[in-house]
Amino acid sequence: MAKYGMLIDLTRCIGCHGCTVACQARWDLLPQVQFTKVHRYEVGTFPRVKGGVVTTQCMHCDEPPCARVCPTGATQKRADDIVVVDEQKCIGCRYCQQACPYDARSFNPQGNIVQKCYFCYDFVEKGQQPACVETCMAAARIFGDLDDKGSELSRAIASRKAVQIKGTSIYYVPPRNLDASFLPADFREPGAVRIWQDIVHPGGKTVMGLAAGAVIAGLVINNIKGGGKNA
Amino acid sequence: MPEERVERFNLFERLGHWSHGITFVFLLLTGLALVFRGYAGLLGPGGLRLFRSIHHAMAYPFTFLTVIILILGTPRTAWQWLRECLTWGRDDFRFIAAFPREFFGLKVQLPEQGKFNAGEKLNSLLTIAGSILMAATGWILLLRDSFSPAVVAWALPLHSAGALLMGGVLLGHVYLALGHPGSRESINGMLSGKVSARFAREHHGRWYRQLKAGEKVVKEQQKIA
Repeated sequence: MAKYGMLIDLTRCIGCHGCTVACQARWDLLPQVQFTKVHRYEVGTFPRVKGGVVTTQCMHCDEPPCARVCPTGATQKRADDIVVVDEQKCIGCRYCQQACPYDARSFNPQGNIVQKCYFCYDFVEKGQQPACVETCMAAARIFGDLDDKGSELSRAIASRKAVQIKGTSIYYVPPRNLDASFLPADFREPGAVRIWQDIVHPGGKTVMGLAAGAVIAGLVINNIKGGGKNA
Repeated sequence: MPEERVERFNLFERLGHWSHGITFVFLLLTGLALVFRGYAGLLGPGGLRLFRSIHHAMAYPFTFLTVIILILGTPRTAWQWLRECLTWGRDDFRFIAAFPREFFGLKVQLPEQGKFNAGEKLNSLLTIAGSILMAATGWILLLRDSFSPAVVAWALPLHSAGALLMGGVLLGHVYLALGHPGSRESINGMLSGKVSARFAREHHGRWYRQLKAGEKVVKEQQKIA
């Protein structure tokens, strides 16, 4: 099974927003829903000013917190490492939106669902490229199989000294004018998600279970003592 | 001769209790579908979307209705209730320490209590605190676009924690009101408003004596008049 990933060469990106728009067109998105976004940065003070562009999107994390908190299983990580949302199963609870450390998810108020970059999985299955890759006129984006050492992606990662955002499927070549601190941070599960899923849910279920157990025990004892027809 | 009964809760106290209780149970049953995966699977996406609509609609009466009923309908007794809940003496702590045996139907001597015993006071305080927590975090989630992402992110675990803890409290509350042989007479106080004089004397001795003393004073005043 392939392990899909993407390299974004920010030394080539000119910030034209082509990726944002091509993606919206392919997925028929609302204007305010953008699976991939373009951010511009300026550093320094006039006249010594430098600028750069960083694009962001779903990072297809190795252990996606969005999938962890999804109560319906609508968000799932596939065997080929693509994180998808089954829009039929999504009930719009928006848990995933808050869990995402990269703010990569958008709420669609018309469908009452949450959407995000799907790495164009159904096009990829047919051997095509994701819309953002296909449209990028600077050829800043390379999509492919990270497990295949001979793939264009793997070779580009090695030759261009790309930086992996750890815990994700995304690699960047940082822009010349900006250092790596302008890139998305390495993956870390948000503290609120960890406490919620590891402590609150199991702990709270235990409390409810203990309360139910105590009630049943009380009923049983009182019934035995009262001979079934207690006072 | 019918058993003598004394009034424990007036109409507005009862309405306030049930508007809170019913909305809370609806909110709990619809909300827990997002905590227990098996329950969510059983409902399917359509059922869960319906549950969301019920959950959001119930937020309004849960937040406002009980408070309005108590403030407009019976402000004096509501205030007395709050004051009593916040007043804790040695007998209250002794009651709490001894109560687990009573809960499980074991023999125990409980200290004399007022209109609300220490367990009911604790339940009241947990309910008030829990409801404020649930309403505050719930409204943050409903109006999430007006809050910072960090606030919304932490509202989620707090909302879950409050729901599960209050769910546990509710189970004990319902058992004591309906199932426990010693205390289940108390449900009548929330239905008809009246409990048997025997129950009042045995479970709320201090309150019962004050009640009787008050009646005596009234009767004597009537005599004088």
